[in-house]
Amino acid sequence: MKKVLLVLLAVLFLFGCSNAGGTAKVTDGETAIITSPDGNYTKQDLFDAFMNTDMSYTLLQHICKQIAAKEGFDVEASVEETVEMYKSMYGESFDLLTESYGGLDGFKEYIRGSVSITRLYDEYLKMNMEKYVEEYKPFKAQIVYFDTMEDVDKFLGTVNSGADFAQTATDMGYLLDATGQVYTDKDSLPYEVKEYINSSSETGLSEPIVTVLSTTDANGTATETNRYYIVNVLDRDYNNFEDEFINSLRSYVDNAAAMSYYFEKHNLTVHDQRVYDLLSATYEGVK
Amino acid sequence: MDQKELIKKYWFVGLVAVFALIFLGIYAGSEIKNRPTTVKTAQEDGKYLIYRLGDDTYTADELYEDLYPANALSNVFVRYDYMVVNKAYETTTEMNDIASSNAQYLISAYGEDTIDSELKAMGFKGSEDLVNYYIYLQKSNQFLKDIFTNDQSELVDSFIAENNPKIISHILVKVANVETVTNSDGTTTLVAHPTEEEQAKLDEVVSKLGTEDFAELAKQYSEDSSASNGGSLGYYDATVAAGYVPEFSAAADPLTEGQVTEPVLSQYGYHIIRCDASTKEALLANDSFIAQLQSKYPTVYQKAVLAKGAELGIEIADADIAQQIQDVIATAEEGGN
Repeated sequence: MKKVLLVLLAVLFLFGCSNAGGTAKVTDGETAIITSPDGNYTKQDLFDAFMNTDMSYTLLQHICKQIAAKEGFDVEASVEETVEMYKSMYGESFDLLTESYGGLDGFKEYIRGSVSITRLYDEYLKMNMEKYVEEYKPFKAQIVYFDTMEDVDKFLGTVNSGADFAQTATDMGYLLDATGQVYTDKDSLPYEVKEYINSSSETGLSEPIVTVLSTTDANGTATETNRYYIVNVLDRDYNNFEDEFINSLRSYVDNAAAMSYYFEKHNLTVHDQRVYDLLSATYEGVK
Repeated sequence: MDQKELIKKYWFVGLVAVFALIFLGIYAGSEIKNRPTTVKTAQEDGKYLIYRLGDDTYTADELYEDLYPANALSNVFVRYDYMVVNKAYETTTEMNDIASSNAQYLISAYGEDTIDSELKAMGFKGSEDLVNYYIYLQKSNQFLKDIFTNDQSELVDSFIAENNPKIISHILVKVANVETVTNSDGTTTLVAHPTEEEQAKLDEVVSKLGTEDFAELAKQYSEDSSASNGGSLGYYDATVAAGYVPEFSAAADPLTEGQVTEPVLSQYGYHIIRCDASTKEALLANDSFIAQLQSKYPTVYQKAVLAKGAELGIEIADADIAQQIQDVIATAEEGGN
């Protein structure tokens, strides 16, 4: 009977034990930041205050810098390019900007982290490119639409005579990217336009694609009118516009999958409960 | 009694103990399975690690250095302010009661998790510190009032002379049909066409002015969002006046403390406007006036906190941060604040 009771007590004791994880400490944590007769505010207190804010981006930058180096990705050219961009944006205020990062070197480290995150993200997208091409069906095209057949005929008449698609659209009041844009199956194009794109593997100018536009006025009266799309497919081979497609993918594929992949691959092991809770809330592969 | 007899006598107790053990084991196992992952600390060369990535590590010291530039100044000053103000003022029962009441309301409105993370981001311990935070706010507000009342009296006199500030309240009785009539000289006049109900309401309010409390009348009769606050519109001066309709500000501008207007017609209906404070003493007792002073002279509070801290023996020992605070104050003062 005594042994049974002892075992019961042991189980209850073990169950009741605290499951709080470990937290890292800074060296010389007792150093006073603020001294007071009622007790100092120390370096450890300040560090713990930092750890209670959302420092996930700082952590991610640091982790990704190391992973990018391990993967052999050279980010220095991108770092310099980004720093130059900030210099021209901020002009005389650039020095003030870098002050909050501890100077130019600190600012470059910050940029190196950001650039590393983007690089890993892009490389992950490239690694899984076939999957994304199948899912997103990217193509490069110029697309215009008109609300009357008169405008359609005028546009096509001019373009079919040899005039430039983009210039003709601009002359008729359109703001259009002259080189064309990368579209995907997820973009908000009318169903009929997507049907046209998916039904063919050709490039070139389409016939007018008729869609129906439904509008409701202030009185609640619904009206349906035709809208005519003209698509000039420039390229269907993603290899010819991979960078633009990756840029487009960033709107749809968040970087959590990419980060999780690299954390798992490089066996990221965290030794602070707060950091673990923060990272594991968004990313897998954190140990 | 031998073992067999013992078992024979206590077999039921033994059976219950076994089932209890089994149940506890299942329950404990389930809890352990669902328990969030706990992390063990690790050190290398005497330094705590944040993470390890293959052969590479990131220490707590490195993370501290990375977070310090952008976060140290604000964290330390908030904590310093908290320590100074808490030591400078005793916590009264009234402060505690107000803080507890506010804390309860905030948690029920926003949830404990939200409050917890917001307070931690400000350098507090979390939701457990919410009452202490509200006590600190009250003490900080009192400190601010005392600074402007006692130490910065001339600054306040100059502000009052320059801005002619007042604190105002109003009661709005809405009139749906207000017509704008164009006069022969091109000017316009507002003409009200109140319903019987609207007129009766206005008459009732006017009859009670002077005998009943203005704030209570506003709560009962006023038809705008200030009603629940006793009709208080807070701080008013020439700059603020621009945000009101011209009829309102024309009536409010000349008011002095205690004066109440006749009903003033605007496109919204009839306003009865009261000047709650225009003398220095009454203005200094009002939080929205104090807030205006704080906004106009932000370095006054910062310098006063540092002076009070020195007096109480509370010092910022980190020379870097102490210098940054002085630089911030100097920059703000150069900017004319």
